[in-house]
Formats: sequence, C-alpha cells, structure tokens
Amino acid sequence: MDTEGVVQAINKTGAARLGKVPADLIGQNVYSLIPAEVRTRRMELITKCIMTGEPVRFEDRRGAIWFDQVLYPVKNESGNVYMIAVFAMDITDRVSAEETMKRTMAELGRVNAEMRDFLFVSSHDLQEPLRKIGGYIGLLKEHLGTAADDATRDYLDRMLNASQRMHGLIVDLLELSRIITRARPFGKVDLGMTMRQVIDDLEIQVKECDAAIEVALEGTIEADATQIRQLFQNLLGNALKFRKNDVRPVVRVSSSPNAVPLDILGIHYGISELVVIRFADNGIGFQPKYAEKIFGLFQRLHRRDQYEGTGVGLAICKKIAERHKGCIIAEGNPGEGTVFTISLPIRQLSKGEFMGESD
Amino acid sequence: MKKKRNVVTIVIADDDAEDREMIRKVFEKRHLGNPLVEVEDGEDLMDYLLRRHTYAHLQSEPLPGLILLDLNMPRIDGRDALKEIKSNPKLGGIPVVILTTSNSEEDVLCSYKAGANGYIVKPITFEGFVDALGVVQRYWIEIVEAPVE
Repeated sequence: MDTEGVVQAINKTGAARLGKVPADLIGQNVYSLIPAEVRTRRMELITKCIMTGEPVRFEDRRGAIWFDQVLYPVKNESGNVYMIAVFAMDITDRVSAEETMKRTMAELGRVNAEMRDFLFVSSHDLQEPLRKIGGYIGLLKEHLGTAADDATRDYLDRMLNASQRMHGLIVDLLELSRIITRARPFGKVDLGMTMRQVIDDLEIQVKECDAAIEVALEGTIEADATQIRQLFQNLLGNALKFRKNDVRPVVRVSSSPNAVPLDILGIHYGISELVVIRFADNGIGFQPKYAEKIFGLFQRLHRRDQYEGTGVGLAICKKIAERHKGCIIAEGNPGEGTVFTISLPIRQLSKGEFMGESD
Repeated sequence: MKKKRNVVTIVIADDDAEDREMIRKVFEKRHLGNPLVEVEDGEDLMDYLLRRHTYAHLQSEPLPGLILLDLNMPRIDGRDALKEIKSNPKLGGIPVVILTTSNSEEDVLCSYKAGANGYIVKPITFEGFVDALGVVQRYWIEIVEAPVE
C-alpha cells in the first residue's frame, strides 16, 4: 500500500482474510477495510513506520484469529518511505497456547500457595493434640506409679516414643514448608564463609567421629543465606551420619564455577552462570537405583535403629536448590561413598530477564 | 513488712483446660504451696488483675506474684494482655512468663519487647513440663526478688 493506505498489491490469502479476492481490493483504502475499533491504532502504527523509516511489528486480533504483523517501509532513492509492505502471519495457535500456559501457571501458583498454607497450618495444628497425648501418657505413668507392672510401663514408653517420633516428623515438615513460607530475599552469600560457619555449628559431631573436612569453596552467589547454610548443614550432617564404622570420615567440599555438564545445564533456562558445588564423602554410599528416591519426603534407606532421622533432610536440600533455580543430584555405590552435586545460579535473574522480556 | 515470695499467688492464663490441668499437676508434683488461680483468656485475666466484674470482691487481696501467660487465646489474646499489664503502673512489676505452643521468632521477639520476663514453648511431654515449670518455680518463686505490693 502507499503512505495514504491505498492497496497497491495483495495476495490471495490476505484478500481472503477480508472476505474478498485481490482484484476487488487493489485501489481501495485499507482504513475503510479494517474494523473501526482498530483504525486509530493502525493509523498510528503506519505513521510511526513512515516517520521513523523502521519496520513496526505488532500483534493484531481479527475475530478469533491472531496475526503477527510487520509494517515494512519501502524507501525511494532519496530515502523517504513511499510504500509500506504489510506482512501478516496467523499465530492463533501460538497465542492460544500462551494463554493456556498463563492460565495454567496462575492455577499452579494458586494450588502451590494453597499447599503451602495447608502444610503449614496442618503441621502446626497437628502438634497440639500430639502434645496432649505425650502429656497425658506422662501423667498416666505418674498416676500409676509403682502400681504399673513392667508390661504396662513398656507399652506406655512405646506410646510415648511413637508420639515423640511423630512430633519430630511434624517439626521437620514445618521446616520444609518454611523453605517457601519463610523465604527471605536473595542477597550476597559467600560460599566458603558459609561452610566455615556450618563446620563450627557441627563442631561436636565433627569431633565425635574425628572427621576430616577439606573445604575448597570459592565465590559468592546470590542466594538466601539462611537456606544455603541449612543446605550445607544438612549435607555435612548427612556425610557424618552415614560414615563407615571403621574408617575415619573424610568429607571434601569443593566448587567449580562455570564447569557445568550440559545435561545439568539443560534443565535450566534463563540462567547465566552456575556454580557447581560437590560434597564427596567416604561413607557407606547407597545403591544407585535410589539416587532420586532419597530426595523424596520421608524417604529412608535404613532402619530407624541403624540411623535415626525422619527422612526430611534431603527433601529440604532439594527444595532449597529448586527455590534458587538450581538442582541437586546424588551419586554413589554401596561402600564407596556418596557425592552430592549441587548447581546453583551465581546470579538470580529477575522475572523479566527470566521470561526473556526486555521491560 | 515485706511479704514472703513463696506465698504469692500464681495466675495461669490459658484457654486450654487440659493445659491448665497439666500445669496444676506439675506444681502438685513439685509440692508447690502457692495458691493457683486459673483464668481462661486475656479479658478474664485483666478482670482478675484489675479486680473488676466477677473479681470485684478481691479488691483488698494482694496482687499475684507471677503470671503464666498463653499467647493464643480468645477475646483478648496474650499479646494484648501482656501490653496492657506492662503499661499499667500498678501491674507492670508482676513477672510474666509466656507459656505457649508458638515458637515463632516474631512472637518471642515481640513478647520480650512488650516486657515479658521469660518465654517458654510448651513442652511435648509431662516430664518436659515438670522440668520447665520446675525452673520457673525455682527461679521466680524461690530465688528472685520481685516487687511485691
């Protein structure tokens, strides 16, 4: 079309979209062909194309159909725009897929928020009756005093143990839900310093089993400091707990920035640089087939009388890694130690950057 | 003459009758001779402390020497009651120990800022209660000098 909007040439598809054949449209003005409600905006876009001499791209809806349109300036010898080439591509499928995705994401966000509330409230409220059970078992023991025989005492002790174990589970569940509900904003976190704090915190356990901990952690990442500390603490605690009885535990904690295996990088998107942290121990290891299962909630590979714990520690690690848009994997073999590999973004991209938007 | 600390009244402010019973049993076990008064919420507590409504007849009685205060209660909760007690010149000197199920950092911080003299998360076993309240009794009733009317 020319700069006044008079159609110079049009293909069959373009004409068919207006319910015409090309011959009917040539010589007509586009402004009389397009619906009144989009006319003003179209005029602005065409004017912009003419004034700037740059292509203008926009999305346009005609009924149920979406078009990706480009107004392309055609210039004469002196560089002035004297014609405009209009290209339109049907992108209805893409737009509807995007809308479905937006709706699904919103729904997911809502369900997630509900789950978080549910987890927090239920674990909080579950503690109340449990406390009563524990309290009254104690009172019952007091009340029976010496009148209770051995079997009665034994049963009461088992009940008390079970209620205390459930209390432990609920406390851990609460902690898991807090990864999201009590999340703090990301700030600068020094990995080496965080690890040193964790070793200080676990000093008693470290001394108890005479563990050697070698740390070669470097760099600073953008993260939730409390959560990174908890992540390191759970992993070091794990390495110490699942040590071999007859071997001095050695835990090597190291980092390598940017050295990211492609298969790990592949599951991220919108991430600039990653730091890869390794926790390698010489402990009892595990069967490779459980490599994913161990991150599941309440998943344990050992009997309670062998190793205590509720099976929440690694689930918390996974949640923390995921909240930072990172990931954690475990590798190992029975008797050959365990290696946890955590990859975390060095910088957390804002939502706009993450979605690939410029504004 | 100064009254002896070990005869002061202890107030248990808790909406949970079973918890009040638990606390009473613990003190029984520890042979605490002090009179115990139970109130069910913050409003009830303030009525008792200010000797009004159903407690008007206690006008001439001495004020309690220790308050065990739950936080989550109906009507006036423990947080508001604590603020009211600590800002009242007549009541502000009474030691208040928070005894609650809440272990939230915010509740702990706000309670101390509002003037709480201690904060205990309700133990999950009877033995735990005996331990915790034993320390309260030993400290606040037997050792510490507190302002007495």
